[in-house]
Amino acid sequence: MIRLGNMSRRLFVRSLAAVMGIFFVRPSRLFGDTEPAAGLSIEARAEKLAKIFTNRNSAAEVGRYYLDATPVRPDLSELVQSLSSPKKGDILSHLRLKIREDFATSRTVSVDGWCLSRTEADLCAVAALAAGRA
Amino acid sequence: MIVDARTLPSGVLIEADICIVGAGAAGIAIAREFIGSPIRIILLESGGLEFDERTQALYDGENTGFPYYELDKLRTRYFGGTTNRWAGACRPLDPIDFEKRDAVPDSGWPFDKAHLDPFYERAHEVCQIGEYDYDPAKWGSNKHPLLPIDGDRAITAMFRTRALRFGQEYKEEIAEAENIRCFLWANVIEIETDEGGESVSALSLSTLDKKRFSARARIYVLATGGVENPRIMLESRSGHSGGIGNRHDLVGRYFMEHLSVPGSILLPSDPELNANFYGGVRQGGQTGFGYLTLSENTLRDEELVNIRAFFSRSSMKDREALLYTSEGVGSADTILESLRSGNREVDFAGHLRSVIGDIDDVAMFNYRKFFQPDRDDVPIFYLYNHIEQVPDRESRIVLGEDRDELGLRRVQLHWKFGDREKRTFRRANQIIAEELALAGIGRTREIRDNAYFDDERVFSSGAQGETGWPPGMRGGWHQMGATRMHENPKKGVVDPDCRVHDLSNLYVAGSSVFPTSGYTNPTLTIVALSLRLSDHLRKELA
Repeated sequence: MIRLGNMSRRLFVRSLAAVMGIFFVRPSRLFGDTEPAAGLSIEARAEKLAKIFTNRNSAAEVGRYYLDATPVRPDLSELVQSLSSPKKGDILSHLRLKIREDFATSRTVSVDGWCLSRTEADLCAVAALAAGRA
Repeated sequence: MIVDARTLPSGVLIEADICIVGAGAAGIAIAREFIGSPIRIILLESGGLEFDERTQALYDGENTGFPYYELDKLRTRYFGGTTNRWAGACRPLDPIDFEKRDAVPDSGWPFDKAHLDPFYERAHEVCQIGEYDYDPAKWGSNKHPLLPIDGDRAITAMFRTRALRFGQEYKEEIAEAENIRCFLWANVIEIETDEGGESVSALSLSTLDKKRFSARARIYVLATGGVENPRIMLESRSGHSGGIGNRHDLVGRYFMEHLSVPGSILLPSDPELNANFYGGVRQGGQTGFGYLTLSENTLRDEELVNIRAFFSRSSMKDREALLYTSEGVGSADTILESLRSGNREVDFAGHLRSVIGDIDDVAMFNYRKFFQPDRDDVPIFYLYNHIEQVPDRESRIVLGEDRDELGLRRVQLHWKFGDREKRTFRRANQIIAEELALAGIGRTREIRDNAYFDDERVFSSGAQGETGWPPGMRGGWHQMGATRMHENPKKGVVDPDCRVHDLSNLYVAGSSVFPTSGYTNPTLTIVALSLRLSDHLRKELA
């Protein structure tokens, strides 16, 4: 597990709550989102990925801290590529599968002590980069 | 028969076939095994039938290693020993705990768990904890379900509890046994040996008022606990300059404790998460508790030491304190530990103020609101680790210059441990966090800091060392290993029969003989080994 640095606990928990909710609380409203079209620009695809969050500001906050603490900062293109599904389909199902695989294979990061899957953290990073806040 | 040694004539010699030093779990378990036999037993107890401050002070010592509990607050020195205040947690060591593991230097017992199983079964009767069975599946139910953890990496295991007070429970039996004489207020001053130093010839004894007398037996058993066993051996120097049984400089070395660390906080995805099995289940008059541990394959593959994680469901107020304020964690622990230790000197009111101060932190509000907009109450579980310590030659008990009321040198405890335990702590908590997330149970946040060590009234002074542990780490109240068992006299103080190498008639009972410790509370293993030793002594005397 990659361990990342400190941030305001209050701020982080507020942000984390929003991020985790995507995957564990109210995912049904997000089903139906589909894989961003391959023909779109990276920025447009990032925008589509970021839209899966009900509270993009929170996701962006988590993403910003994640990026700030990451030794080698990934760029937006790399993140979007890594999160994309190789085939068309339900993007959320694809991401949820990736998250499960992350937890099963210790592909996790520790942000302010919280154990997040790498996919979750990368999605937040996309939200931060897409918002121009990182 | 129970005798007040203070009423004996000065200089008297008491004699028996077996002389057992110490009337705690080990000493009482051994003595009981001979009730009704022709074998005459002397059972020596330093204290009386009740707590005595002056006797308890004989335990005082100094911590020179990683901060540890005050040594005179740690154990209980009267009839029944530390069972007078133990929590009663019982479980055998795991099979892997007996194995020689390449990744754990100096690990392994001279026998496997299967060898000890019959004695564990008998120990269950002594400890009065029901059937010898630790299968959590038999305890789980719809009302108390096991968590749906996959099982490849992390598993549910369980322990039983019954805080049987050996002193109270077995006092009448001991008093009425015709072949047992239990001498209260009788302290060992020295173990005397014959001229060749090959066998014990007598024990020099004293009451606190310096009335001296002696005990002679065919066989002697030291059963005075994980710190006093090596202390008495190191103090007995006539004919043995470095202490009795210490030809290879091993007595007092390899001291082990269970590292007790608050690991993480679990925020369950479902506020109705039923973790009742992990909070204690009553079944057939017995109580069991579930916990999470790593599978043996994971321990081997990742070269980790053994570890477990308890679940503790906190009250609403404590939850916020635990999650947000490190000081709150420390204070809550301090209160629990001081209650457990009976240490009245701790400023309870001050710590309670601190905990309640933490409760005012309302940072959980948004998180709570998000998950359950209509609820004020979200359960939070506190995961608490017990970690096996790697045997370490430099973790040791030595004798200092200070002396107790009887003139015996007090101990200096240099508790030391290394990086594998720390790596295990981090990796195990990561694995458990991943498995809990994977099973959809919830997410965890590790506890990385707290102010436990800020309270100098709980811990005596001592250098924290250079281990880099978070300050919430402390001992599990279990002192083990300082007269370790090994077939080779160059690697162990006692042989597989618990006989001191090079001495024909001196045996050691108790957790000081454990070569490795697992994470399990030691009392059941202490009793099992004591019963095994009793069988051996019966054959020796036949």
